[in-house]
Amino acid sequence: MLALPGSAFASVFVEAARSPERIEAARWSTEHPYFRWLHAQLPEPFFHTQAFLLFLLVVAVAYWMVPRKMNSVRVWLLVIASFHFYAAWNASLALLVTVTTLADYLFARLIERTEAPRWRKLLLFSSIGMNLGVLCYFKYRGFFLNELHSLVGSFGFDAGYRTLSPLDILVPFGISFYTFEAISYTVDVYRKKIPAERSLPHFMLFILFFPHLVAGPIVRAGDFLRQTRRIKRWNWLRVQIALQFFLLGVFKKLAIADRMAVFTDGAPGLPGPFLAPELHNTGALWLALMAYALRIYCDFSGYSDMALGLAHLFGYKLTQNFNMPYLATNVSEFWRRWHISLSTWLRDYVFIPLGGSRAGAWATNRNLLITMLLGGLWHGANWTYVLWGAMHGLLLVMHRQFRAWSETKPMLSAALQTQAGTVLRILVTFLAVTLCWVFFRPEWDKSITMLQRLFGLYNGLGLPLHNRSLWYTVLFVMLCHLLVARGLWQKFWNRAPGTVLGAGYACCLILALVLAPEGGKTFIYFTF
Amino acid sequence: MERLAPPARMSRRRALPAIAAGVVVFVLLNAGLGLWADQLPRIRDPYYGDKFVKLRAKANRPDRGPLVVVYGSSRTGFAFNGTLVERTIRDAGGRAAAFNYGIPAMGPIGQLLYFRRTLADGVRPDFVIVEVLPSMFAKCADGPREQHWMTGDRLLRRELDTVERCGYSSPDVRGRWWESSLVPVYGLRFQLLGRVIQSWIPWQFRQDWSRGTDESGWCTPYKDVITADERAFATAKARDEYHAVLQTWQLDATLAATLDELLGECRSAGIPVKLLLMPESGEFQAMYPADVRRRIDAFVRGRGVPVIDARDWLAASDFTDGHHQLRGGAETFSKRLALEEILPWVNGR
Repeated sequence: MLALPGSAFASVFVEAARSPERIEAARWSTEHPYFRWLHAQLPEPFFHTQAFLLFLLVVAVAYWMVPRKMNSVRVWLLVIASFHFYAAWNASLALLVTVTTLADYLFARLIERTEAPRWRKLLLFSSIGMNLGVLCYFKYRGFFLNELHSLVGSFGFDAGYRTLSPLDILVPFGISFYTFEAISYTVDVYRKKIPAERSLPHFMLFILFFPHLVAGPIVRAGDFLRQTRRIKRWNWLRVQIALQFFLLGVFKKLAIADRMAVFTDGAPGLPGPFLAPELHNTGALWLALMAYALRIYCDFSGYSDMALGLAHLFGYKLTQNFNMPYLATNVSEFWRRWHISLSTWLRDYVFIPLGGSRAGAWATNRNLLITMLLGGLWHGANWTYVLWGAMHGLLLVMHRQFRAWSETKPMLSAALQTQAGTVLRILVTFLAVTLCWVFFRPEWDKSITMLQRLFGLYNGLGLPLHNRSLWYTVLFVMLCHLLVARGLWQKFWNRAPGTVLGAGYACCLILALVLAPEGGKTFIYFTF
Repeated sequence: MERLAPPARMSRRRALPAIAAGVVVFVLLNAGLGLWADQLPRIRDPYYGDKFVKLRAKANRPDRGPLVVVYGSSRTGFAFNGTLVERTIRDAGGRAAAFNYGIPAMGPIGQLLYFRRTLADGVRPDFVIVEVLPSMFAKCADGPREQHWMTGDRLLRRELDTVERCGYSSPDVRGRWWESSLVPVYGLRFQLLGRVIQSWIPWQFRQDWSRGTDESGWCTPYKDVITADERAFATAKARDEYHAVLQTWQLDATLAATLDELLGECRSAGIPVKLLLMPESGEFQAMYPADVRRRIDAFVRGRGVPVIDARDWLAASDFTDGHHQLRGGAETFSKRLALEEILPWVNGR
């Protein structure tokens, strides 16, 4: 696309703005009956649905029935299952992912074979350009075209196309995640950190493996491809660990995230503070903000836990994506605990190539800001996400400056290291991160309204649900964090008999099911 | 919480017992709860069960007079003050026990099922009043409106055939019933939570309504008086809910047959029965076009039982939203119903 002349480039975008309905109509009319049937069997790509669990059972049984010496058959089986998992939602987009994966495979092989630096660089940029081009076309097309539309309109001209609504654009789910995986792979091959994968099915599994395809964690080729070659043996311990991760994820999703969603989004016929901040009083907005912080953490880390469990069932270990982020004592630490696979990706492929922290304070701060701005844009094609990224970038810069300043004040430094100081730092970090969540959604006007009303004394509606369950949930999460942070959970784990653990699993699942609100909410990170 | 991952040293021998114990405990707990829920209507359908406990207490009172039970919707629930009815009849020299089986969004299907359950559970009313809520008899493309409230998880197995005959979507109602029977911790979660921590459930999904009623099943109106603004807001909401369905109201023959079935069963059991059209404000009644009102009248009067037409009994100020009564409205309505309809009925027994 980058090679197109200017006028053709513009016409592609104009066509893109006009054609989404035709693209959709064409897609449905050409959809093979088999994929329509598949869609009926597995209508949603959510891990905690009956349909998915049935799919998982079939795939897991088939996988472990294959003799372990036939590893390539197992890999192919997982590739085919993963393709079906995606195709059940959208066959055309499953083909798109498959085609770009094939292209990345070839690009990497060519990069490895090519000696001339100029050609290597060209191949690398072709691969990155293709991946980013697809990402921009699907995810950022509407954003850029709408911004262009309003810019042209502000000069009194007609842009020649109508603005796009989110409904006009079908964004392939997981596109941000697998694009970053593919880019990191070709960059690592280019840097000669890893060899290009020779086995096509192994490489396809790296990108398409269904536990991480939709919402990460963003896996690295170096970690994953090694595992595809390892022979996996069946044992019950594997199943138990997988079950444990999966149940933990289900509990976080149903019992905490979806429950907190009632406080933020409300219930049918009763919009919550996040959907209608103009209707709610200041106290309700603060409580809803706390609920949102809990919700987004449990929603995403719950999904990640489920993904880890599913991968473990097939003998694969994915990157741990969260490590009790709200116990972070500063924003820098928060990003080492929150969405770890993304923050390390941004560090390795954006921050460090920009110069990292090697070129002085000003350049470091600039690099931090650029990295976080891109991180914000990665989350969503909207100015609110860009602002959210910028706020985190600013917080990181402020933290760097404060740390440098406080190191010159020994008494202050010592006070901050005490128990009370640590609690204070955790609270301040939590407050800062939580306030940033106000902008973590596409509606700019609602974010502004919410921010205004948070810092005033406004009357209005209270929370959609009695706040007792909110406080109990907060206390429960704090207690769990304390148990894990102090090592008590691990001690219990080492000593508890199997039957006690099993009863614990059952209770965990029962509690999750009892506390699940009506109509499970989708995962927030699926939209990224 | 992420470090909940098991330690590497965890014994492999422990894995299978852990998984097996988990499965066994989960299955046993669900099976036990499923059986318990089938034995105890207060678990599966608290709307019915919580009121039935009160009804049985009233029916077992040694000195009670003839038992009058009104089966109806939330309109009845807020309007029919059984205790006041009993006192009014007593003051007038009569004797009766009155009970309010008004349940939100209840129409002919729920009334038939609740009447059957009452008899099956050992309480036989001496007189029955059946509220006719016109919107619940409207013909809808996707089946009876009641199926959105009287859902499969609230039904007993023997009732599934009846509701399917009445037009319920078979996969939906059976699916929900099986879910509530096989995995009751999920299918009956609102019922279960409602018994322990009601405040954890959004009000739209709460099922503990009957628990908060008085001993005669009357749901005390939340407020004695409301402001003009509050009334206007509530009436506008009622209009949103009912206007479309009343404008195009067509009688659903299956639901009419369901009402006839209920009336027939009352007759077979030797229980006198009357139909009741509940009070509505003038503004609410204006939502019915003239021909719809005529058709509703013809339908109600064609059922072959006496009809109590209370539609014009109250003033607009007696309602919150044009059809749910405030305390004052409930008093006026209950006294008049007691003196004009119930007293002559029980005296003539």
